[in-house]
Amino acid sequence: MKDEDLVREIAKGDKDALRVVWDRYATAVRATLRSTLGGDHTIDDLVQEVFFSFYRSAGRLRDPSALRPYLLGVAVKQAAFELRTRTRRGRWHRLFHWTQSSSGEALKSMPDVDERDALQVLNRLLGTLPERERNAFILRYVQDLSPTEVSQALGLSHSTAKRAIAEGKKRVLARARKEPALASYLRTSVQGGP
Amino acid sequence: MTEHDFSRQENREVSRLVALLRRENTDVVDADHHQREWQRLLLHTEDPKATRAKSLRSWVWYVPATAAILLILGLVRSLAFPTALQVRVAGRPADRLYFTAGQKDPLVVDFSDGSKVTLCAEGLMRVSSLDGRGAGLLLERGRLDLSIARHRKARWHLDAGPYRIQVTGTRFSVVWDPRSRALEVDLEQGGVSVTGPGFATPVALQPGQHLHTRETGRYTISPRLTKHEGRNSLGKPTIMNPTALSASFSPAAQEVARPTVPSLPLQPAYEKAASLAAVAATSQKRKLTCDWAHWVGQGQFEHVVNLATHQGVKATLEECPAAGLVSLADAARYMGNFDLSHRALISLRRRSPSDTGRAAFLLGRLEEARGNYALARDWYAKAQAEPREKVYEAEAAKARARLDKRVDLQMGSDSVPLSK
Repeated sequence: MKDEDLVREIAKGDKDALRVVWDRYATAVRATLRSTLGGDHTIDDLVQEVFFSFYRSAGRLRDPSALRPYLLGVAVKQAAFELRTRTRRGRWHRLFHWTQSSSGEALKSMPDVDERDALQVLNRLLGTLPERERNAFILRYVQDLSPTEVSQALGLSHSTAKRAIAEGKKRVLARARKEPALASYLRTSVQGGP
Repeated sequence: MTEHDFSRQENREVSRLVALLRRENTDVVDADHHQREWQRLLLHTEDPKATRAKSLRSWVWYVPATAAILLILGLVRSLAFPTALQVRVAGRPADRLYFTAGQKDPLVVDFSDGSKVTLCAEGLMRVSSLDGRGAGLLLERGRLDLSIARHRKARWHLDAGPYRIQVTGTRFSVVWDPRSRALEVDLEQGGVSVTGPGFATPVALQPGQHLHTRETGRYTISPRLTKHEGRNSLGKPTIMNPTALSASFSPAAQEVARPTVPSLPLQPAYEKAASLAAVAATSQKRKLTCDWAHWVGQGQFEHVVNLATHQGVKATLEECPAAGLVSLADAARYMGNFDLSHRALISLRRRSPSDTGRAAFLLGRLEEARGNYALARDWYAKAQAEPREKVYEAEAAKARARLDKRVDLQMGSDSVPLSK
C-alpha cells in the first residue's frame, strides 16, 4: 500500500493503516531523534508525540506521498523543541545548583570508550548548531533524504534547503575538528581507512 | 556554497561522523519494545481525553501567560496614564469642578500633586480637564493665584477668554476681566507662555515679568509689581480688581499706576509714544533701558523696538550707549522699521566718534536692504575710509564691490548724495 493511500485511510480513522505507518517509519523517526538528542529516556515519548500529531493531522497533509520527509521533519522539530526546553531547564538547574539526570543509557552499549566519548561530544555539538542547519544535516546525511525531501520536511525552498545542508556540514566539520575527542576519532578512523 | 564544494577529505570526515551517529541507532529497538510502544500509541489515539488533555496542557500555560500580560499592561497603563489628580476644597474632596469665590473670602483649591490654586474674591473658575499629569483650568472672571507643583511630566494650562497659558512648575497670578476682555499675568517663579489673539508666537514670560493685554492685539510686558507697588490707595492690590484693570489700559492710568516703570505698548507708532515718553521724561528723571543685545539675540526685535519707543525714541537716541543704539538699529532694521534704524545709526555716528566706521557700514547695509544701492555704496565707501576700524573696512570693501555692478544697472535711480 502506498503512503498516500495509507494517509487517506488514517485520515478516516483507520488504525490498521496507522499500524503499517508505525512499522514502516517508527525506526527512522526514533533514529532521527536519537541523532539529535543522543540516547535518552525521552525518545520513546517523543516518538509517540510524532505519530500522535501525525494521526491528528493526517487529513491536512499537503503532500501525502511525502510521508517520510513529513514524519522526519516533525521528528527534528520535536527534537529541536526538546533541546530548547532542556536549555531553558538547564539554566534553572544551574541557577539553583540542582543536578540534572544524565542521559545516554544507550551509550553504555557501545564497547569502545573513545567512540562513546566521541559520540557524546558529537551529540552535544549538534545541539549547539543553529536549528535549521542541524535539522538539514541530520535529515540529509543521517537519514539519507534527498535535498528535495529535506526541503519538504523542513518547509523550505529547495535552494534554501541546499544552502542549509551545506552550511550545516561546514559547521559540523569545523567544530568537530576543534573538539579534541572528535578530532582524534577522525584522525584515527581516517588514517585507519573507512 | 553547495555540497559539491567540499574536498574528498572533508567528505570522508563527514562520513565518519555520520557513521558514528548511525552506529548509535543500530539494534536499539527490539520487537517487544516496538510492539509495546505501538500499544501505547493505540491507547493514546483511542482515548478521546488524550486530545483534550493536550489542549488542556496548553491552556495551563495560557492562563498564567494571559495574566502576566494583563499585569504588565496594567503596570504600563498606570505608569503612562496615572490616575487623575484629586481636587480638594477646604480639605474636603470637591463634589463639583466649578468654583465661585465669595465676595470677601478667597477660595483655596488643592490638587493631589501638591499644586494649589487660590481664587480671589468674586472670581469664577472651573476645572475643565483633569488627568494624572495636571489639569486644565478655565478662569471665567477675577483673579487666580496659582502655585503649580514642579513635576517632570506636569502638564497644566489655564484658559482665560481667548488666551491660553501653558504652565510647568511655577507660581503666578492671572486676572481676567470678561467685560473689557483684559488679561494680566504676573509671573513670580518658573515659566509660562501665553497665546491668544494678536500674538504671532507664544509669548514666554520670565520670572519677575508682568504681561498686560486685551483683545485688540496689543500687549505689554513690564517688570512685575512688588506688593507695595501693586496696592492702590484703598490698600487692595491693583491686579485683584478687574474693573481697575480695564481702566488701567489708558496711558494716563498706566502712568499713575506705575510711575517708576510704565507698561510698554508694543504696537503704536513710536512717534506718539515718544511724545508721551518725552512728557514723562520732562516730568521726572527716568533710568533708560538700553541693554538689548540679548533680546536681539533671541530674535525679539519687536520687543526691543517697543521698549525704545515707550521710553522715548528721542531720549533713547540721546542717552543710550553705543551698544544699545546698535541693538536698536538691528532690531528696527529686522522689523522693517528703516527710519528708526537710520535714526539710531546716525545718532551713533554723531555721538560716538569711535564707532563712525561701524555706523557707516551698518547704514550701508540698511540702504542696501532698502534697495538704495548707490547710497549704500557711498556708505560702504565711507566705512572704508574710516581709519580706525579695519574690520568694517574689509567688509565694506567686499560689499562695495558687490554693489558696483548693481549700481551700474540702477543708474537712473534716485540716489541721494551723502552731503545731503
